[in-house]
Amino acid sequence: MSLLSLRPLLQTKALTVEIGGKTVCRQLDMTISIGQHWGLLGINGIGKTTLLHTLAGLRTPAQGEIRLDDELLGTLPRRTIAQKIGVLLQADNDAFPGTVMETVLSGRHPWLGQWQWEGENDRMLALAALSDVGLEGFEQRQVNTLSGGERRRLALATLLTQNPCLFLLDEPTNHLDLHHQAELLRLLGRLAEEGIGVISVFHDPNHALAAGQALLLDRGRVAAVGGAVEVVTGAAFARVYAGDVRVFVTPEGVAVLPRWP
Amino acid sequence: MLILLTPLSLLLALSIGSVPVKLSALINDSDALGRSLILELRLPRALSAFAVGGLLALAGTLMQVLLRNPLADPYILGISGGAAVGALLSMLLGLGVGWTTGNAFVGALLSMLLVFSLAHSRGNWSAMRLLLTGVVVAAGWGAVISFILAISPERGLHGMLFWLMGDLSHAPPPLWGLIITGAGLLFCLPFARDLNVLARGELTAAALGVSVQRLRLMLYVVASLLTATAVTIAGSVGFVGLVIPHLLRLLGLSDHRRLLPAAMLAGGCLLVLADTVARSALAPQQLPVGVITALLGVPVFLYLLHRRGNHL
Repeated sequence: MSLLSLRPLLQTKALTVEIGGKTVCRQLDMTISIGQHWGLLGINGIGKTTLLHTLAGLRTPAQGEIRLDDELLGTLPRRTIAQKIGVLLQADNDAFPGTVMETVLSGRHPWLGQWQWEGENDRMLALAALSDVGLEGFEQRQVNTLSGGERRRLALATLLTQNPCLFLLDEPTNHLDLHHQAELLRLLGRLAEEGIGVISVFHDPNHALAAGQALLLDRGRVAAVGGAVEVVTGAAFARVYAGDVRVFVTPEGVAVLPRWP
Repeated sequence: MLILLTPLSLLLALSIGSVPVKLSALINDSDALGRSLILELRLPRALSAFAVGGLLALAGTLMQVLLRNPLADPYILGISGGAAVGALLSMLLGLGVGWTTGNAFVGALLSMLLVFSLAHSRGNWSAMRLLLTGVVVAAGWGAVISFILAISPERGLHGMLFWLMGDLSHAPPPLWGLIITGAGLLFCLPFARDLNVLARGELTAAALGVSVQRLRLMLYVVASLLTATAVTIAGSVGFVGLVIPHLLRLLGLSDHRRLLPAAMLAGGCLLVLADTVARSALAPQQLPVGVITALLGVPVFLYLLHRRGNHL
């Protein structure tokens, strides 16, 4: 790894995040560098989404600071943040659905001036993004006629069109079949190689293993952080999932299987 | 197409009325009466109708994005209720037309401030909180309106009912209405792409670089002022603000950069046509224009709702 690929994108210092009087994490110091893909793990309601939104600047932290490219996140204008950080939300709202193309092009919003319309270049980016997620030919479809998995991939295409250097993804594998889960993880891996940082909330620890780095949240603190293999084989992981999983270490890699009744 | 429809609807409004007058009177010196009828009565009224329709359709489009609710209309947050209380009180006290108009505007602004301060009191004003506050305040105004109607002497009731249903026969000169319509549109157009993103959700919009709180505050103020202006000119004309944005969305306009100007033009045309019907259908008796827009609006809206039901 070259020095360049270790340039920190996002750094937290003594970050404390709270929601509804509950602490999500306390005094968290972490650094996300370009080329890294972090998987955020933890059981339901532990605050993965809250932490992700805080890192995206959509919530203010209770204490501590977040730096994006060495600048304090809270002092940056929203538009500047949106040029650098892209967020995939857990669910989309479509009270007023438009076409697939209109939705994808909305990713260009932070890059366009007040009176500016999308140009040929923006359209090329949008088409390339649609083909990256396997939605070519869907341009004129209404969004509310898409399946759950297709909408998920559309949201990802919008993010690719936004072209930020840091992706914050809330359960990106939701609604995706096994084939598209694998495609997505490969795509994120390629993006990381091209010099982008990714943080994804995952429910399946195997996805975190594919991502490379992992952070495990547990009742108000970070229980484990580091390489995904170390996190998954560690004692904290076994404690959090309370014996519901079995971890296999094989010559081909590490795999986590659930222990069904 | 709407740009063509606008002069057509205005021409139609000028040529139709309770007294048959040919448009040629405008260039024919011998028909001075006909000319003054067109230029001094029908033209200002048609322009007022256009302004009111444009204001309401614009305000309706903005309100629907602000509340992210397709059923929102310009009156949903109680602005017309406040205006009605101001106007009806003036009528009850026997004040003149000028006072009625002025107090309607004051009532609309009071209602706007009241809803905003109540919804905003804890610093966090979600769309749902704003909607609930507005709907409850509107219900309160509704009770006050019923009370005023109940204690009013019978001879005043006719005028009050006309005001409540929307009526252009006492409209002030159209210049200010037209200026505010144009200014409202010009002010909103640079934010039209932000509206596209906001329509997809507040978090989505924030993640795409929109300062959501500031945009929502602006939307609330602009939509309220546009509505207040419309209500002051013509009372509470129904359905234009609700139906026009939906009609255009169903025609495939979901981009607010096109939807906003289209809504203004289409709303203006609809109200010009409705007012032409209102003053000529049962001539010489005049109908309140709100009755015609509602008569047109109800079936159209039910049809849209039905179609939407098939989609979901």
